[in-house]
Amino acid sequence: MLANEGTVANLSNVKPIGSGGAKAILQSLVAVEGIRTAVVVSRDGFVIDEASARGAVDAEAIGAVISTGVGSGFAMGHELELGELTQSMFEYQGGFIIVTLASPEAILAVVTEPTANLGNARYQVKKRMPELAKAL
Amino acid sequence: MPEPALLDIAHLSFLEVIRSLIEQSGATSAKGTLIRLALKVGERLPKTDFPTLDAFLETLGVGANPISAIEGKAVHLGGGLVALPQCPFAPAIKNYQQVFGSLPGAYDAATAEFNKPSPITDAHHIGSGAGVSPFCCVHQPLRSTAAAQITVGGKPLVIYELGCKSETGKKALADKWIAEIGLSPADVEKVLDSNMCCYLVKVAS
Repeated sequence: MLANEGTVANLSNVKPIGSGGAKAILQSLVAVEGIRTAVVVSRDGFVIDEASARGAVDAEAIGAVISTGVGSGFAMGHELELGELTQSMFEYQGGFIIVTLASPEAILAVVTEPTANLGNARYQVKKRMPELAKAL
Repeated sequence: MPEPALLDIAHLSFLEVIRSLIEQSGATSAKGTLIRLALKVGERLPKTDFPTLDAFLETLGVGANPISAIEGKAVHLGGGLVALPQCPFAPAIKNYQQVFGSLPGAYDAATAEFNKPSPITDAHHIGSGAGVSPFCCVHQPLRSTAAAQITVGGKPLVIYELGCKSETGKKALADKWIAEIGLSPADVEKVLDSNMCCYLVKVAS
């Protein structure tokens, strides 16, 4: 029996890396006031899991842009001999994106409202990181 | 006096964009970008139905199917095993090397990333050791997605990438997929003696 027989070659074929426990952690993150979306993507930009407080999001597109954007950050760290990127933040008119290395192979991106308490958002991310890393 | 080597700027641009992508966003991200690009293109290829797998396999030799449209004529060796005599990126590689001598050094990192196990390469039965250059990050998922657009009696084709050979003659095998379909590495190496790429075509069950 061949593995994955009957599947068609599109992005929906991609199996989550982890055991599925990441979903609950992401859902608990978007339940925090000011956090809009939480998504975990592999370093190559394919979505592992996501949760949003604002209904469906285009997770595939988010995964691709996060990987590319953060990839530059990783490259910059290596070029300047600063080691691995552990966390990065982008501020936009419409909110913040907090990007955290969740495991050697995965990235967590949290999108917040512009009025969110950033300190609390970062704390909530940090608090869940060991559990998330274990789930991936 | 010999003619100076002419550079096809379409080739140069493409190869330099890949180099820049790897250097600026890192090999892992660049690999993902190239795979996504290929999947998106593959999904846009025309859907075609064949009455039988043999009917499809017969078209490989004359180049009359969506897979041949992207990689040229191939040879069916029997049992769904297919050999590709020419790499579709060979002209670009040759042209670049004629002018610059060798491919960009950054390519090695992206190739290594493609060969690492990952959910996306597993989903499409590609990589896993069968990559020899970043062009494989484009070619292999594109072929797999093109195959998924081809149906036999309504069921899509599934491709297992088994091995590839670089322009320098170095062979790269996907041991995982070779084992899964029940061939031996020696079988695939033999095919690669006179071909650049080797894969298996099956109809999804």
